[in-house]
Amino acid sequence: MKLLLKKIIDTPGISALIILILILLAFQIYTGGLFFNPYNIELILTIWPELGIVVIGVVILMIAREFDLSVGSTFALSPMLMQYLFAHTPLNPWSTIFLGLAAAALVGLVNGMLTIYKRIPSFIVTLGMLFIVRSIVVALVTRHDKADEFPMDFFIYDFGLIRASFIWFIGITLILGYVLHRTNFGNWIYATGGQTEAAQNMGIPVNKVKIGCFMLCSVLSGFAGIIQSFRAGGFVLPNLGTGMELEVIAAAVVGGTALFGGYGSVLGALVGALLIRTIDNGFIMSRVPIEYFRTALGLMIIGAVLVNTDLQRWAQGIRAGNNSDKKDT
Amino acid sequence: MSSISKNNNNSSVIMEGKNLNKWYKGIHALKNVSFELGEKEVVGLVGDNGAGKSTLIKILSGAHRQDEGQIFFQGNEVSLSSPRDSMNLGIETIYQYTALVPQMSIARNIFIGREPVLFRLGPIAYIDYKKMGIEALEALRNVGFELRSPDTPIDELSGGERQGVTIARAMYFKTKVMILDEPTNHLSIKETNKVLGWVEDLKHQGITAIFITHNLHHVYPIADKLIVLSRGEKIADIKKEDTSIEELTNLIV
Ligand SMILES: Nc1ncnc2c1ncn2[C@@H]1O[C@H](COP(=O)(O)OP(=O)(O)OP(=O)(O)O)[C@@H](O)[C@H]1O
Ligand SMILES: [Mg+2]
Repeated sequence: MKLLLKKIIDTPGISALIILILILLAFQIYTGGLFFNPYNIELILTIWPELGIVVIGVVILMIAREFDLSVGSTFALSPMLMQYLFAHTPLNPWSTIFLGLAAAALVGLVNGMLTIYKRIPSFIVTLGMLFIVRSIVVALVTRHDKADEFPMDFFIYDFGLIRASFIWFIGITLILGYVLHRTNFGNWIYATGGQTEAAQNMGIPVNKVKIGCFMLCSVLSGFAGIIQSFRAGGFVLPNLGTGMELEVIAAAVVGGTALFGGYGSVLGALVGALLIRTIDNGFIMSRVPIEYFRTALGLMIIGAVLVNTDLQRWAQGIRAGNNSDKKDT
Repeated sequence: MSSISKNNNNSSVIMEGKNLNKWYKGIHALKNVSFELGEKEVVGLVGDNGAGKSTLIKILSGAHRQDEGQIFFQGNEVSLSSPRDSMNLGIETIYQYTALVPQMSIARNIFIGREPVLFRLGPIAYIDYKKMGIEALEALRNVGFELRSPDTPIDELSGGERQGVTIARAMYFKTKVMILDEPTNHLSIKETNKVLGWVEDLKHQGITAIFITHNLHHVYPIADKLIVLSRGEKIADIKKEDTSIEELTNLIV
């Protein structure tokens, strides 16, 4: 029984899930039952994937022990380049979507190469890229009135309660969840982030693994940006996604991802993203001033880390206790 | 080519280094070192700080390349340009601090980079977890290492238990030459004895072991032969019967 408890606590993201449920209940009570109305649930299910897809990428990268602060800029780059190419070249919409994502992959490649081969900490490299990519986004600002020629339904079709983006989100979650937790590549990501030298000594191509994670993270950001731009009717504002990097790291941390690599889960990413989006929305519903939202967010980030470390210590205590029991008998 | 020569100890040579040299930015870290490793032999590699022990084993494990010299494995010259090359030949290296990933389970650690596969989609392979758990347990039992579940994360194990996992891993993958870098450093006396017992058992399983240490008292009782390095040079290569701890201590200092 205690071991089962330990196993549950040991799963990254579980404590965030518990906090999420408590917060949802609190909002429901506080708003006098208004929180769980169909309109609000629909709204949350619309905005959750757009953040969640980015958080999954960042969590996987953090498990590999690297950061990406440029996700907000990449989030804008893909849709902006897509619109730019569509307006200024004869390319069809699908090709421009593809090239938008390819540009995101290139950003990830540059992030990875500079981090690994020039040995600049990814925190710095991607901080630089945050500004560089944003300036490219601004330079590409495009206006045209043919936005409805894009296959938007494919990404955001409104089914009622959910949109197509939610199905994409589930698909991405399942695939990356399997890759991370059930395949050799996932095992290598954890090993690379947990103890790079050990992974290298066991013959794992740690540089390729990390660069792969950087590229994945960027492509997911660009993809989420395209979804959000379609939901906005195909228009891309030059400030799309600004400040997102902080929200994303907040979600990752709240979801139990370690800052020093080797620990985290896709479940944690999902819950972390949902938690950020829910309290955001819950506070608006409760007509609480925005400052309180920021306070709550700040407390939650610090609280989540405290709770996670405490729970883990406690879990280790259970383990140690059990162990000494065995030795005594 | 160099042959599988019989040496006077009537055990055949499994691995051989010839005139190995290595420079690090002007430092001559390994000077013309040659050696032979017999089958089922425990070789103590000793020497003061900076003597070149780690440099030598990094070359044998494929982590670094020699600048000059040749390496022979089972009579054939080999080129070891990555840890994978060495592992594929059956040369497994256990680094003191960087052999295991602390956050990962025992089972996952045993199979890092060699995961049992259920099916494959391009380069990505779905891990056979059931097999991994069963085989991990089996691997641990083979070294007489009765542990808790193979799902236990490494950072919950003691230093000696960690060495046990690395040895179990090397045995499971049918290693022929096992290189242990200071495996008894920072271990309690009890745990040191346990690790020494495992290394001695390797011999009975047909495995050659290179045991690197600062502490002659650890390696002497279980060694068949001792190689002493000093400032990059091999200054002794001697069977245990022909020497004593006192003599070796004087050589090293
Ligand atoms: N990567 C490196 N770059 C530059 N010099 C190095 C490097 N690795 C080792 N050296 C130098 O090579 C020499 C041999 O070092 P090595 O690590 O092989 O010694 P060692 O016998 O393992 O010592 P210790 O007992 O302290 O582990 C030393 O002078 C060391 O400073
Ligand atoms: Mg050394």
